[in-house]
Amino acid sequence: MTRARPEYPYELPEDERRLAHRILGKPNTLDAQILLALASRPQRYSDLMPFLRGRNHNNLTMAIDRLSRDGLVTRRTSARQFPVVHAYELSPQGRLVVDYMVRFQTLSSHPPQAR
Amino acid sequence: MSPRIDATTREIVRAHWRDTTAFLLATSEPCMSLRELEIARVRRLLVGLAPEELSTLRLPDSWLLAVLLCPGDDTASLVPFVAGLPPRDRVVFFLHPDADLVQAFHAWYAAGLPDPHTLDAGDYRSLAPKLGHELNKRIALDHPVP
Repeated sequence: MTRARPEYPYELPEDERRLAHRILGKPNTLDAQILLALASRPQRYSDLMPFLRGRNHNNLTMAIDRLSRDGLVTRRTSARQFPVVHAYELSPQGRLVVDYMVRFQTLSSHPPQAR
Repeated sequence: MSPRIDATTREIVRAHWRDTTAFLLATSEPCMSLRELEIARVRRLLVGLAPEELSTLRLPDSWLLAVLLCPGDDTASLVPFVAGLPPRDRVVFFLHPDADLVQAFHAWYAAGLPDPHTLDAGDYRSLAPKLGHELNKRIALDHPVP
């Protein structure tokens, strides 16, 4: 039994919509930057470190934990050979939220013209 | 990791926590002790498992399998069980910091399974909140919004 998910991103379930707006409310936060970076491909912890811009590493760990707790990000481990690599990727729920964020931001930047 | 969850998920978990079972698989120490501690302290639907019980395991509609991976453990006994399941996102590995992951996942990759979903948990303090969140997410995903 799975939870019903609408196809159209504007019709996100309430909890995902609230998450998207929480992140959209502060578009320059680590959370938003991480989500948008993961939209293109899975990333390692070290790939995400440039977003810290001099801040403590703990901030990145906490942001990833927060996104993971919210069910937006999961960690996959590639242990085929040494060194073992951990990569973070968007969950299906996270992809919905990012789609919503991108469309919302696009709409905000280019609002439809009134006739 | 803070214990905060959003209001909708909290409502769903309150309504449905009895409908979702978390199976905790542990093979060796200290993971077996960790599993027993988690089952004793956490008032959720947690069921301890040994690898030999996997072949006869009857799965409910909503479930999560948490595999506690400690030094010396491998995934050989787990692979036949997981290979027959389409929803592999229900299987989450909690990795002890000293576990040899290449050796542990050798059988996993030999069976053609994809990179596993993992979290770090070396002690009860790190395991309990992470397992709780995974279980909350699973309950929320498996049950419609009220």
